[in-house]
Amino acid sequence: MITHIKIQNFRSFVEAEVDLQPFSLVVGANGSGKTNLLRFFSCAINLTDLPKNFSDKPGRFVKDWQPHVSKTNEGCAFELNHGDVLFIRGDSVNAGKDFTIRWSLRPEGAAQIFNLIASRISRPEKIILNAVVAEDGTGTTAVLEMLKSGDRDDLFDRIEEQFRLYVPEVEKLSLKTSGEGTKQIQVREKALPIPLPATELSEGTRIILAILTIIHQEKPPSMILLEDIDRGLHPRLFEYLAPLLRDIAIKHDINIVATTHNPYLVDAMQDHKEAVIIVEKKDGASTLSTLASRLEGLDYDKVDPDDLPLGQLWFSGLVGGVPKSLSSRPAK
Amino acid sequence: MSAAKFLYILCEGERDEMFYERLCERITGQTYIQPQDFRVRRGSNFKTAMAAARVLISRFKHWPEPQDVAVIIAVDNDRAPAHPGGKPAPRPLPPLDLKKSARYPALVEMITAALGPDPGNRVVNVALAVPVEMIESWLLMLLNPDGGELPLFSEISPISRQYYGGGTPPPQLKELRDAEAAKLGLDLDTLFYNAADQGDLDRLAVRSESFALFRRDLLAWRGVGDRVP
Repeated sequence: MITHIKIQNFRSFVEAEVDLQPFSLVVGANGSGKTNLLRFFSCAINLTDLPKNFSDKPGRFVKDWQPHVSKTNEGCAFELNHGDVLFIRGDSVNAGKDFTIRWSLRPEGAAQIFNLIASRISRPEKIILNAVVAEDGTGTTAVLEMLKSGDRDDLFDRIEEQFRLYVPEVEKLSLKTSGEGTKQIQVREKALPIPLPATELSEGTRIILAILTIIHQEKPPSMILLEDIDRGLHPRLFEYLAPLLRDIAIKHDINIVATTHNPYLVDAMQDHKEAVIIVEKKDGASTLSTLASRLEGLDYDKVDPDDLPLGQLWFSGLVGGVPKSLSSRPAK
Repeated sequence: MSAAKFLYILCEGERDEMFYERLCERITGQTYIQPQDFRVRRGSNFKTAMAAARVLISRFKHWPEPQDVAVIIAVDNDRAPAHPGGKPAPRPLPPLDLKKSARYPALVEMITAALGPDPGNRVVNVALAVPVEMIESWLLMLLNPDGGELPLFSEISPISRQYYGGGTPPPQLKELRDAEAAKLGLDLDTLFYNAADQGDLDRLAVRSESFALFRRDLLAWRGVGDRVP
């Protein structure tokens, strides 16, 4: 599990660093750099042959490694603390150092961004071997079938159990044959006599199922990056979802990083303020800090959290990570 | 007078912010930079506003030296008791209102405890905008300096109906505001801004003690060099 990151000259970041927790929740205004942070993880952790793929020379970058607009002639650099291993790469950071790459990648993909689309999760899918869930949620059906019909039906049962917890109307999760070699997710609800195909489920329900499938895959990625995790989900689910993601991350020794704009999800981090990462643009560059560090000196511990829950605190702008005013004075 | 360079306003929305900022500019005679926007979510209760104000003031109380920073904390009084600018009558109020705690004195006490009793010896300048009963009251008095008594409630609602004995109440503050906007053919942002920009502040201070207190706070603002170390 990665515990600390340092980024130099990558997309909207000029220089930024922050501690990571097993489950980290990223908040910030639109355009602040949240997605670039996820891209950074995806690029940095998925590099498989660094000396070959990463240029030491300023101005030369491999695909996807874009420098900040103000530093196009300088190289990108980063540090990742993974346990007691410091993984370094880049012009300015490693200058003069003799370093060894000690990152062990998982062959099935080290870090993966998920931007889940409900319609992709519910489509009938061809069943293939070694299926994985793709960025948009495609593959959820194939992974569920692989678990169910393979020897990991225990994982399938766990997904079903947690799915029932989050969507209490669900009685049974199963897969039906919808064509030759093709399956579709179906769900039996308590009040209905026949199972519903996944296409009939709400967007939020499908996204919950995809998230559960991603984190319970037999070999989940070493870093799961979830964009706009709150999309389509009822706010009451957040108080269950946040601990679940944390537990899964700890159990598998992986990182889960999710972005959100929802203050209710921030409320669910009351006991893990160090796991909320605030992304802010300052002087044209994205910065990183934790909510815990932003609370230092604010005497928030003297405020009743019922009066000002964390989500409200974030909304207020008192810890940053909010958009600038949209309105301007009326023209005379 | 050189009061401060940077202005922080804690209020409910951008329209309110624009209104208070323009009043502040006119009263202090200078313009400000607003490095950050602070908001209390609409519909929040006073406890939330108070907690947010306390956290905001906490940012400053640890500063060792006075700074070129001024703060406006804006909260509607909403018929809460014990505002020096409020009227003891008319009563009785609906039970929900009777349970409200004093707002203005609580804010004064919190700021005094955090930053000290002497406004001239604080690390930042602070002004309290606690309109009796809400921002629309100041707006309507600016638009109609010779108008009569204003209603107590935000809008016609079960609470205001209860106050008026179950009958249909007369138009309340937001209804009067909307009527003014319709009469002048202005959107609400422009209505608020024009009132703050052109209204007679001296006459408002005479009619509204809550505004007079706000103006008193603003006029007491001092630049860093003018404050007692």
